[in-house]
Amino acid sequence: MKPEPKTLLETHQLCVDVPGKALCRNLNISVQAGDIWCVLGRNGVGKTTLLHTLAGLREPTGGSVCLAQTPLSQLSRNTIARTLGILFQDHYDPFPATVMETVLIGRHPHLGAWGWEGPEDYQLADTALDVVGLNGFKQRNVATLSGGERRRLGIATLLVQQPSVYLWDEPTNHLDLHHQMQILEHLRDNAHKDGTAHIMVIHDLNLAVRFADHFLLLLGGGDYYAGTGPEVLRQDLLERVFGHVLVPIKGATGTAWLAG
Amino acid sequence: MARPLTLLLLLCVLCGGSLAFALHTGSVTITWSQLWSALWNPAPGMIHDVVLRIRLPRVVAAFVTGGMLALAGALMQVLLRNPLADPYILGISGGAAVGALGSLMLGLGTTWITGSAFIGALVSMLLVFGLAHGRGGWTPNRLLLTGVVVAAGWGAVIGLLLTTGPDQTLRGMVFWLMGDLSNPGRPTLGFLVLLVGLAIAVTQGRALNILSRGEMQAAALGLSVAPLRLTVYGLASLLTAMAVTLAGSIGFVGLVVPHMLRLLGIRDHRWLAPAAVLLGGSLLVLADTLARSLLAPRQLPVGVLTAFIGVPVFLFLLHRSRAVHGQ
Repeated sequence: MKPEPKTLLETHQLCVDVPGKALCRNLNISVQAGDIWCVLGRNGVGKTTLLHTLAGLREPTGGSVCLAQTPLSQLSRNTIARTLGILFQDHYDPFPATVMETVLIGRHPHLGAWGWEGPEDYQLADTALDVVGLNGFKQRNVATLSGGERRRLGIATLLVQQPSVYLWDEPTNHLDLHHQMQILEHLRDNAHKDGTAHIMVIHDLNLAVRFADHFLLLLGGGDYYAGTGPEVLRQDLLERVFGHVLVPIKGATGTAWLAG
Repeated sequence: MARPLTLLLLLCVLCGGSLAFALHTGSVTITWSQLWSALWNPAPGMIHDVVLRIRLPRVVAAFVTGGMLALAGALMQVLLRNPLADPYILGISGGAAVGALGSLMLGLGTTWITGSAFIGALVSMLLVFGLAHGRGGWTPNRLLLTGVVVAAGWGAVIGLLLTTGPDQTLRGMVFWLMGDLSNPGRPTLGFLVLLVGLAIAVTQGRALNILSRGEMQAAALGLSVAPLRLTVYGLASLLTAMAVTLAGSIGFVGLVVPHMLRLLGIRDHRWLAPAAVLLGGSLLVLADTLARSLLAPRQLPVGVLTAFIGVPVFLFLLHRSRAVHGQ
């Protein structure tokens, strides 16, 4: 069951460059409520830089990103943060903090300048920690968490931010199989029930194929293919994207891709 | 929330106790009841003069200086996202020291020493800011490296002044460098700056919590990073400049007080800022009282005493937290 089509995020002729290299040329995509997009491409092709540009944390070379029909450049950081959230690849914790304190920072954009976190914020934090399986860890120091636990805490922090557009930079990094499936299933439910949209960078092609309904393939040099699974998940294209021979295997849950 | 509130109340008690102890202690013996009546029912006389003219200004100056250093330390640590940062790390005290030692060498009066220390601190602050800004970005690492190198430069100038200065000014210069509250200027302005700084730090507390997790993360959570960073830099620098001008460069307080509080469980900057002011102020009041009374009539440099009190307390807290949380 997908929610009513409603455009949450759009790019118009978006160009993203790093010095001496074009990452994305004239990108036009339209992300609807309930969509799960997956960005695929090799290391260094510009997936993370593109996500940062979509989040408004980096100026595009050309074109624009629109959040609910308004260009990001016309919105304040706080307004953006209430509608769009991003999970970064890395987490920095230079000072001690508990799991609960860390997950509550996700509420920042929703609290007034003088506001303190109230019972409903703690309730949201509890629920999010349940989703990622960290509810027994509330008073633990973040520095004592394992890599996978820290990643799940980052995911919970983005969940309590409650944006309508979620950008995920390798959300399944460091996660065991059980948590990969559990969390991605939660995001899919969230997209379909609440009409949120998700754009994620995932390196595991089979996870991407299983959970995403739209794909953005970055080929390097600014070229891209964007579309639904049937439109772009072609063997020749995927082999170009990854620079490796792939073997499709038909199974009960769809097509799986093995490295040849 | 109960725990930070309890700790803050305990710190208020510690603060009151240290102030009373400092006013009570000294070469002139004053009973508690005499102290009480001197404070609340001022009647001209020797005790009145000792308490209100001699001890009180020095105690207030010590409290204000300690509070400013601890608050500046907490802010610098967030700004540079480095637990080793202290108020002096960006060379502000170095600039102030060069100004003050220059005046001491020339045999100028207290007003000149204070004024030139403040100007030196401001010059250093603008120099580091301008150089770190340079072309392109203003990352915490770039700021830190610029500050450390400028501080090293000031260090060389200080060495030069100490080795070439006339012998009779040497002792005064060394005392200034280790921190000295025996000639406090008027702490009124410092007190105002401390109050304003504390108000800004508390109202921006939640933003500081987020800034300490990285600038990208802070921007993604809706913070306008550039103005906040500028505010924090300006505020921490101004607090440091005022503190150094009041009392020379007193080490240890700015580095260790924020960490002591974090070890005690105060990590949210909305609590950490007022707690740092209270603990930093109390620590410096106690240290200064001991510095002037332990070997009286000789005075010890207060920086030596802050370290003597702070080092064992800090090591104890660190040891205890390791045992409790298994960190």
